[in-house]
Amino acid sequence: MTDNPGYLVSKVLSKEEVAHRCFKIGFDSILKFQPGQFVMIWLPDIDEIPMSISHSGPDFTGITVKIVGEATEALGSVSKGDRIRVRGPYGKGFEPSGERPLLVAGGIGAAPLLPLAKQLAGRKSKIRAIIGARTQNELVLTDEFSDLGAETEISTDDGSAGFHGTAAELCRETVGKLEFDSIYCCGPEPMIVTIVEIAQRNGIWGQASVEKMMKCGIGICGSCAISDRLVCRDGPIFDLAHLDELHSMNKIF
Amino acid sequence: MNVSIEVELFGQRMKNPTMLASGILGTTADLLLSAVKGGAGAVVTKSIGKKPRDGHANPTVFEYNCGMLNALGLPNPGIDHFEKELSKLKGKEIFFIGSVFGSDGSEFSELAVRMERAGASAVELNLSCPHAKGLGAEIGSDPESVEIITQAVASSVEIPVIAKLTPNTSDIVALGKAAERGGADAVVAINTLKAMAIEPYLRKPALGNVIGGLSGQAVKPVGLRCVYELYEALDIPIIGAGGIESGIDAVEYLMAGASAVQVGTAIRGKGMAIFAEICAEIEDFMRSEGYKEVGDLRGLAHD
Ligand SMILES: Cc1cc2nc3c(=O)[nH]c(=O)nc-3n(C[C@H](O)[C@H](O)[C@H](O)COP(=O)(O)OP(=O)(O)OC[C@H]3O[C@@H](n4cnc5c(N)ncnc54)[C@H](O)[C@@H]3O)c2cc1C
Ligand SMILES: Cc1cc2nc3c(=O)[nH]c(=O)nc-3n(C[C@H](O)[C@H](O)[C@H](O)COP(=O)(O)O)c2cc1C
Ligand code: FES
Repeated sequence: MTDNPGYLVSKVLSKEEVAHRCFKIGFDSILKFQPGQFVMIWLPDIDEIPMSISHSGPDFTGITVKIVGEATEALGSVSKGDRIRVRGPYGKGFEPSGERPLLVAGGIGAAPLLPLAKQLAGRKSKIRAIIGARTQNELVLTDEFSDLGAETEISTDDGSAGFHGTAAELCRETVGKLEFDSIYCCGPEPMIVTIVEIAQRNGIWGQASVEKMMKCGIGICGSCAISDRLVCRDGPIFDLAHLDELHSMNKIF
Repeated sequence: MNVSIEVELFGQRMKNPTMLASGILGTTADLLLSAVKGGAGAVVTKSIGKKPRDGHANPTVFEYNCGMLNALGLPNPGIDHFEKELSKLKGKEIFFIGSVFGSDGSEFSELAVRMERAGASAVELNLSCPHAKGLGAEIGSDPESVEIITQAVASSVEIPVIAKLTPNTSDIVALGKAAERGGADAVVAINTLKAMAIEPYLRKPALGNVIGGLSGQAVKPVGLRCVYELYEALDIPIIGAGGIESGIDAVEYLMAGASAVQVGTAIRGKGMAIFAEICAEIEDFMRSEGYKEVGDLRGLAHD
């Protein structure tokens, strides 16, 4: 398929269960990407779905998938050697910034933040990460963040590990105690809404990864529109200030 | 030399002959406005039906350098919701055309009336989507249905009625004439060409719906031929579409007989700014070739 170099049929190289019904999968394509960008992964006869790139190496690219329905179930069921079709990367990634960045992940939201943490670590930023989940066995990629030197705190909604409460609540507490010059987040919408508010109130610049239904992924169908922006082309990473503006106009969330 | 690219289409003035084609980002009021900001003379909404519709399963697109396939399957929020979206355009200086699809004349008419009420300057009948069962090209490739549906709509609304034709036929002129007989004020040619792609390493068709529609550069010669043939046979204006990426592409369509042009797939690469770019290139062409009015280009390729 030389005519469309962005479309790659790739072989699965590795698969590892990193949390309850959550898998880290590496495939043999080398993609030049920015943290926060995503790919569209096609599971034949089922669906094609967006996945953030969560890790990479010299000879592979990887995603981390949380099983929530039919397509993610199929993706979580691939075996080493299976073929999947990947196209991308698409969208606009995070802009790494700040000497003391705070990363806040809710659930599988840790996936796009991991390569950002790696990039920030390379810039010698003093990273603090909050990884939240509903319960202990759903915490994703916490060791990976620690291994990059991020000071990592965890939160669980049910108190089974770490802070008892949501990642957003822990974020509020943390921002009250320590100084940060940037906040990056990805997770459920209520979490993003809260963090937008925390960042605005404390005058901290930041970005969030936003989810919308993706069809084309290439900015032509309008499925992922928020106002006049397209999540697949202008996002999925948006400045918190912009999200605040959209939120106040009732155009998002 | 002063050149003018203003056009008059069924009695309404457009600041230039370019339009946003239906289905390309026309899903929200803000996106339609961004096309106007990008320089479009008019914008066509996504095709809207009576009820919300999810469309086909992904993958819904497949790209080539020379074009793309789509099998979105007319996903849309339904007219009830879309009417609210369009109300955000009230009071804005915008020439918008409401695109609708249905399964028969009464459904088309009902939707057209709603579009008229929502402030549409004209209504475009999608008689040509090649990948939706019982809709679009499935009814739009039969001249009799085209005439009946066009007539039903034309007798229900005051605003101009535009029939969008399918190239997936051996005789597009018969479809154009049927639309004209039915009372259409203009036709659009072309919608996408029925096509498919196969992913050899997975041994599968590459679109969820298997069959989709080809658009972009690859279809320009087909679009030009359709407009050329229609111009010879019809009295009503023709709006050209298919693979227009530059001012020169647009000029070719005008010379084939188009009064205006629609741009879709090319937005993939360049965004909405492409409209201003195309207009500037049309003006450059007119200056260098000595034409004052863009209308003077119309049909020049005919004897
Ligand atoms: C930019 C982006 C990056 C993402 N990154 C990851 C990631 O790294 N890891 C991960 O596990 N998940 C990620 N997701 C979410 C993932 O795409 C959905 O969980 C998946 O599509 C669900 O499909 P399903 O068939 O398993 O579930 P379904 O039962 O079909 O749907 C479950 C939920 O997923 C959403 N969803 C379904 N299809 C799509 C689609 N085409 N586009 C967007 N949302 C959809 C639906 O709104 C629904 O709420 C990302 C989503 C986006 C938009
Ligand atoms: C992604 C996509 C979605 C489309 N959706 C519609 C639609 O809803 N209604 C319609 O009448 N035409 C639709 N079309 C057809 C276009 O409006 C246009 O007629 C065709 O693509 C040829 O023009 P182009 O080559 O400039 O794209 C769609 C085309 C594409 C590529
Ligand atoms: S998914 Fe089609 S425009 Fe974003």
